[in-house]
Amino acid sequence: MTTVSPKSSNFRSTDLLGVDLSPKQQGRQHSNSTHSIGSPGRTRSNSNPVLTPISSQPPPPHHNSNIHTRQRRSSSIIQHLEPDTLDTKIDQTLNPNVNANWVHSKGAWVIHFVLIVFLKLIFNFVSVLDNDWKWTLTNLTYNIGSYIMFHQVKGTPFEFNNGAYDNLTMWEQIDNGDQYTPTKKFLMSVPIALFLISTHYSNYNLNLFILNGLSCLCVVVPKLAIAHRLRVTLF
Amino acid sequence: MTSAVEVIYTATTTTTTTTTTTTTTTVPPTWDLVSQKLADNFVYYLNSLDKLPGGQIILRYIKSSYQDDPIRSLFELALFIFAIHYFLSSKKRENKSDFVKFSKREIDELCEEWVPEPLIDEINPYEKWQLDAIPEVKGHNGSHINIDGRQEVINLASNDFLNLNESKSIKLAANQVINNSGVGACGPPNFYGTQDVHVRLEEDLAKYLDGEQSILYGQDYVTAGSVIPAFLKRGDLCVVDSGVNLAIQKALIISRCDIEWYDHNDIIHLEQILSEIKPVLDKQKPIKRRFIVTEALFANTGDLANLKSIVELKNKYKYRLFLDESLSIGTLGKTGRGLVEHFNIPRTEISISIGSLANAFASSGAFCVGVNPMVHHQRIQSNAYVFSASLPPYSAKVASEAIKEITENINSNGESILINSLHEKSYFVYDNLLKKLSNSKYVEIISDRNSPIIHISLTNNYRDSLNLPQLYGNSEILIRGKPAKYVNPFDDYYNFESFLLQKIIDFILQNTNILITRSKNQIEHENLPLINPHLLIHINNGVSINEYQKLIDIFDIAINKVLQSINTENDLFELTNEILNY
Repeated sequence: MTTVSPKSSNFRSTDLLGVDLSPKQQGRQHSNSTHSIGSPGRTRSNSNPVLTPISSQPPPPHHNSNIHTRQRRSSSIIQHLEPDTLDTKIDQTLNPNVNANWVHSKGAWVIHFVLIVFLKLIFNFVSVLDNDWKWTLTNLTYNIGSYIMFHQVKGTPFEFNNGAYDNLTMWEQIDNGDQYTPTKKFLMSVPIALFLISTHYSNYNLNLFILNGLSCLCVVVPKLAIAHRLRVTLF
Repeated sequence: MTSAVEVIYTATTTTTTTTTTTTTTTVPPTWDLVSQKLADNFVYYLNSLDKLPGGQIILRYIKSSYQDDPIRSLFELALFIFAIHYFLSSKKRENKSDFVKFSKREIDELCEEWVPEPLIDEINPYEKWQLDAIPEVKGHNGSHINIDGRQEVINLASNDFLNLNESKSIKLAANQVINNSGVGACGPPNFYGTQDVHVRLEEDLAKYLDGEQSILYGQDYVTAGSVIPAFLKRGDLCVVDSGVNLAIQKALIISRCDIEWYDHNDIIHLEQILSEIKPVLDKQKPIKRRFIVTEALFANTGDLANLKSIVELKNKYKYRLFLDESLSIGTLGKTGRGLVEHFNIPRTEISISIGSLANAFASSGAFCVGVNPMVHHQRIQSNAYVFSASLPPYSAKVASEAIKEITENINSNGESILINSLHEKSYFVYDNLLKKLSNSKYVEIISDRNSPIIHISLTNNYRDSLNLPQLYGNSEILIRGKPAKYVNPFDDYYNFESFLLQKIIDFILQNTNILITRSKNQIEHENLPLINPHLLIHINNGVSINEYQKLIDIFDIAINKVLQSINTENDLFELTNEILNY
């Protein structure tokens, strides 16, 4: 029977590793005779109650980065979000995103028209306004509502994947981030069409045009492909 | 007007040809003229739209919308062109870099190279002894069992500390329920899996442990893995003791929260971490959840958490406390209510307590107890509750009976008789063993005096002389906050140390018919650095003091006999033959 010498014992039935771990992580190397494995800054306490090490060294650098993992590093005003880690991508694809999948259904497309007609009818009751103002206010209300819904609120209202979508607005969650999908094209065309109608009914009055134009831009620009995962921090 | 344009044209052509044409009054091109020309061309093309069907309408719309405001019309035109470009673009995938494109030849090559892995890996011959060393109990499992041909072996290896497995009333209750409703649970608790026995058990547990409500789980190992992700997600913070067991480690990884580790049971380090994180957390908007996670009675080391100080700290820094009382409920405290009774702390200080029904309550499954909203949230959000089968009804009944047995037999001091007996026996064994082993250079007792499981470990000096590492496994998660990508490899030294302990166990079994056991952690799966394996003596109420005395007497004889021939590292490797031929 062969005797195995200490330094060359190397039997492994299956290749558990794809990568050679550094000596510190292989229990059979002798690198950890006195100090146990661990981060260099801390002395580890073993289960012996006599030894109570007091960690007076500064904490290891990973300490703060763990808390800051969800924040951005630079402080400029306009920046892209960092790409998701593998963990996050796995969590995103595990379940279908119930928060963003309903926009594909027919009813979700029809509801935009229903809502716009509804808003116009409400404003029709405010009889002090002229027709141009009614359409302008309809346009504004619709744009404000859809901005808050698609571009302001981040994450999902109920948790089903431990927050994998917490950094993404609803627009970025639709279709898993793909651009130029049919749903996104439809959702882009609705505010544009509404803008054209409002300017038409306002008889191209400059003030109303600026109002309508600005609100249309506010809603259209975040929907562009270049604005994907873009964040503007003004405060 | 056209003549002026022609003049422009001739003016430009005179530079190239020598043929002179007509008049030479060259007028330099001005902006107005150019724009006028462009406008005319544009209008010409627009008018040609007339010929298309429906072009009349478009033409009329453009005319009516123009209204003498070219800038605005230009803006609208730009918008129109942009819209055309947008709506005619084809779909662009976002995560293209995640997909690897293989050519057909590459795919064929990969398919040919593929060799299927076996369904079960072959057993490493150096590990085969672990399977052979598992004792097989024939017949009834209790405090005295029949193993491998030996009769009446004293069982000090079972988690049934109060020996309720052999209680007549419990067996009767189980019989009745099985006759009544069978042995299956029929489904998840929310969907046909809840019967009256489950509801009664939840009420009994809530009353017994001073909680508002409790919720049952089908298996105790997965309970942490279901409860923790129900309350924590990305961005939340956990400060965790680094000696927690594997179930809690996996639960924290699954929940994807930020983890800070503090040295095992080291309150000073815990305070240091809490005070350092405080300024970061104060600036967080919105406020994220924060937890301190620890076990009450640690499964790996047998010591008690310093609950008083932890509760003080958590109140000072505004954290919630998660306490895993799997081993301590039914064994600690005067009436077995766990570590909180042991330290006289109200249960309300602990936000989430989980416990096991499979240990002292002689049943199976687990539970979580706390305030109403916390428990109610789990009925929808906790994966093991929603998607796994519930406890069999007789398990629930047995646990209710066990609680009744513990709480109804109270002696004059207000202690439960069963718990009192358990404590006496464990103190007896602990004190005597401590005396016996005080001079031993090989082993020492590691666990707390109150623990029903006595952990006996090789001494540090002895382990150093054998060149065994202080901790096994990897510490990726401590350094980087994320678990290592690969499992730990097979560790020879861990194998040898376990084998030494097994030899001691075998010696004791041979000579005194007493079965003790050792730590059985799967080093491949541990994410934290793992402490060395220990000999474990599980105190059992059904074993008499005389029988414990037998164990105490044989113990250091066994230690010396087995370990005196192992003094250097080479001796360890000499064991290889024995291991292969176990």
